[in-house]
Amino acid sequence: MDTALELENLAKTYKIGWRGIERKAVVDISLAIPTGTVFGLLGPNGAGKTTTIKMAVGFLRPDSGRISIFGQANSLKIRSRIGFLPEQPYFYPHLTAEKALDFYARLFYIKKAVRQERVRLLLDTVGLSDSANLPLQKFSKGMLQRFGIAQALVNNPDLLIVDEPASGLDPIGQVEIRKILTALNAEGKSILLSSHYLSEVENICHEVAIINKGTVISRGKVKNLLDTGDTYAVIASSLPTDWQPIKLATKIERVNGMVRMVVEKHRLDRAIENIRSSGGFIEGVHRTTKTLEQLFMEIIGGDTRGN
Amino acid sequence: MIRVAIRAIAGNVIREAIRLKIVYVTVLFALLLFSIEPMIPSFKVGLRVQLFQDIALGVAYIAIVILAIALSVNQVPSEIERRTIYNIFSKPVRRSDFLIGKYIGILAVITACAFIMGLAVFGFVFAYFGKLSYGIFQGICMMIFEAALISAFATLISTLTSPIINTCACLLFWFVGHVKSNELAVMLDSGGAGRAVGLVLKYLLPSLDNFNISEAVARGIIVRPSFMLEVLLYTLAFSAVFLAIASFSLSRREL
Ligand SMILES: Nc1ncnc2c1ncn2[C@@H]1O[C@H](COP(=O)(O)OP(=O)(O)OP(=O)(O)O)[C@@H](O)[C@H]1O
Ligand SMILES: [Mg+2]
Repeated sequence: MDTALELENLAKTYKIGWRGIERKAVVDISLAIPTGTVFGLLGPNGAGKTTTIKMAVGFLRPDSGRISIFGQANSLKIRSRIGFLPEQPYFYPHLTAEKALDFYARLFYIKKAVRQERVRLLLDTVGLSDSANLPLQKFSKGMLQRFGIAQALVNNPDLLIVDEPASGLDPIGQVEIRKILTALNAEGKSILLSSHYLSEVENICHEVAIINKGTVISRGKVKNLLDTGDTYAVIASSLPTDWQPIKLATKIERVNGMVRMVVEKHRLDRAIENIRSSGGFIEGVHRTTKTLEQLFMEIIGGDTRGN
Repeated sequence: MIRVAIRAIAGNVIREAIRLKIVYVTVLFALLLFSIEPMIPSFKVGLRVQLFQDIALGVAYIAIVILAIALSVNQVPSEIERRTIYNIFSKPVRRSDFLIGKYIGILAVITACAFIMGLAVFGFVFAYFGKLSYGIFQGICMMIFEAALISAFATLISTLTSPIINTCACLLFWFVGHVKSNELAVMLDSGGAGRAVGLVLKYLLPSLDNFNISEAVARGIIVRPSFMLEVLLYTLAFSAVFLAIASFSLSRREL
């Protein structure tokens, strides 16, 4: 399989101020994104995700290492195949969504007739058709983020690079962004996305790399990274006061007359049976996914702070 | 044929300038001064067309220089600071095209403002003195050329430093550019540092004094078109050099 983006041993140290104080942001990052797949770059604040992405797009020169996009070095031609959504994107506030998209389309030398059609289609894709004539300064954060995705798609890119596309969005907004990205991948686009929430990416990424302090510390399929110690939570109500939970439950919490019992996968049936036979009502059962923070605790023992 | 990306960026500068108060304030202030000029006491003694034109064009000149500096110093820094630049250079846009687009946009705004002021002076001269003084437009053209040079310089400095330092640099550039040729001769004749500064002024920085034809305009003399063309070429050459250095500087810059 071809690779859409390949980073080899990237390193980057920032020099701050006139005294050139050094600050290591990326120490050694290698990754390869096969075409047509979604790749997640995960890591805590300050891990080096944005720095890595900026090098990939060409805003920063790596101190060492190699970047290849569709097998080539970055160039104007290569950039016409990339879509990029920066972290906390910002756009000319006085332009309307439609005008701004048209502006970005012109930077790709897209012909006027094609442009009008494309702009309309994109606003529709990200659900902003109703706000086409609204200046961007009147946009909510979620709308701006969606506009940012539209802007990144204006050239119908083969590779989409998005830096924390769902940051600052409410759960519904996050789901919407995920849906859009999944649909884009279904069209065959390769996607690199960064996040510090595993839950945000686990359903859409084929593969993730977890980075901390500028190095890749773990890499693989999301499911594999999480499968160890898979647990389920059973939430129940109407349990009698003398109810006895099953032995070996991982965790039991009581809130407002409800019980939340966390058990390992192979004990799930027994836990449900236990509640039913005690006359309790099962309000819900779901898999408890490990948070990235928990995974970090395991992998690096809580040492997540950047330098 | 100017590339689409350049036109798009220039168009954005113009759109943004239309929203900027400084453009209106400067032009309106200049218009106001033209209209109250005849009320200045000395005018009452003898309302002389030369003096009126001289002062009015002087005011327009200052307004144009202020606009050139104000419009240019913040274009690049604000794009970087607001992070809008990420949505530009992630696309197939050359750094030089970005700067050229900005520059063309700034020049378009300056030209429009300058012509509004030129028309106003022309109109006032006609209204007060019944004279059609076409030389005013020549004077305005030269001011636009000078503004173009200052703007190119400001654009170059804007890739390196903050708007405030840039403004100071522009004022210095303007001041030094107006060093008269006889003052320069004195410097070149002196030894050591004075001579070195003189050489830099003579060969590295453009002489802005060439652009000043207000005396001729005031006297009603029409300047040779070939001279205007010469100054235009001079402007274009220096601007091209400044923008080329600016492009290099911006492409070195990490964002
Ligand atoms: N322009 C800069 N100058 C100096 N240091 C920087 C700069 N940008 C980032 N850093 C430092 O580099 C390190 C990595 O930052 P980076 O922005 O890449 O992290 P990140 O993984 O994107 O974090 P977040 O999740 O908060 O966005 C941090 O220690 C940060 O302080
Ligand atoms: Mg980041």
